[in-house]
Amino acid sequence: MNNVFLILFIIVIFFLFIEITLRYKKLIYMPLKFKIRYCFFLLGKRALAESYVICQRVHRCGFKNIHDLMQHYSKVTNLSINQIYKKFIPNKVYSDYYSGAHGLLNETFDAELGYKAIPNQKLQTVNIDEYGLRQTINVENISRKKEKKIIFLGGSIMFGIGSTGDEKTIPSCVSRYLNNNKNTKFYYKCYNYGEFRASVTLKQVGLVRNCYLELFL
Amino acid sequence: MLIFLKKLFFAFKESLNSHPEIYPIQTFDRLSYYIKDTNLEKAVDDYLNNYKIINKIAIKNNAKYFNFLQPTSFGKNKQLSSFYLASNSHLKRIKTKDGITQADVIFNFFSMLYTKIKHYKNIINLQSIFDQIEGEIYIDHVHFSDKGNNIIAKAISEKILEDENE
Repeated sequence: MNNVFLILFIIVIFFLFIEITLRYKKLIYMPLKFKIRYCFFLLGKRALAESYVICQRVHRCGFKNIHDLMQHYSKVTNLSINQIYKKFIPNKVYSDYYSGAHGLLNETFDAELGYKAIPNQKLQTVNIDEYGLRQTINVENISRKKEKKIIFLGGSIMFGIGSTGDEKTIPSCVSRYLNNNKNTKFYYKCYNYGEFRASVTLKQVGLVRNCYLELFL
Repeated sequence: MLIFLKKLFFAFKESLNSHPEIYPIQTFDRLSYYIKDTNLEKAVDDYLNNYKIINKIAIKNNAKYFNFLQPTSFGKNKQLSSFYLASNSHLKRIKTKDGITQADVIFNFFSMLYTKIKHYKNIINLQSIFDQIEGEIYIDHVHFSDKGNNIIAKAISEKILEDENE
């Protein structure tokens, strides 16, 4: 009888060892404290989601570790490495979705779009407004020009995955370019309807086909 | 149990792979589902049909619709840096059973689209917008950094201003 328990115990330990190894491998590029916590089932669900996506980024870019990725971000954004770490890497293992810059947001099921970001989210690099859209920083209409609306449709690039803040997304930049130009006849207010999921973008096209967006136009 | 065995199989497969992936098997299944249909001509026609429909809705509502085609890091005229090569090689590792890579699908789709959009006035091709820019723009194989967003925004603004002055 004792032998049966011993064999069972060895089998459990063996599978546990494999599970721990797989877990370690899954977050291979993250700092050690994240890996250890995950190996021993102590990492928060959302911290895991963000850490996993960061690992995918490191891997997809062909880097060997997270520091190389952060150095690359620093190089392409002209921000210091410390600022980049502060923006993109969570410092607490139980943190909520942290940066949002990788398209990780709290979502809710939407009958028409499939998934939609939950309104009023404030993350390190992304803010979601009361309509579930990424905030666009519009320049104020100081000279009281006649207003025109620009609606930006698109996927993750329009949403601004890779932007270090709402003010750096394409719609915000367009608002800045157009409204700071003194020769423009109108005031352009920009809205970012970009979705980070490509499937949602396709559904948006479907909705446009059904004239749903006529309301906004 | 089945999931566990899949994981085990995946771990074994990865241990033999000199360039290991970190994606779970399900992810591969999902991707191969998307790139299974390689009827690109149909995909390009669908894209242009969507453009026409949205354009009609915009005209009906006294609005204007501009379609900007995003730049991709494939087939650029300038020399590709080691970063682009490394990040693009990721897309080349994902293949269908016929050996068609995800990179092939994307490249062929855009190539076919570029040949068909020449007569569409409001489809603006930004494919080569980064060609003259020094330094790296992409944060991964497809998304841009703030610098890239800025360049795209400038091109969009110029088009809007050009339209305003017409």
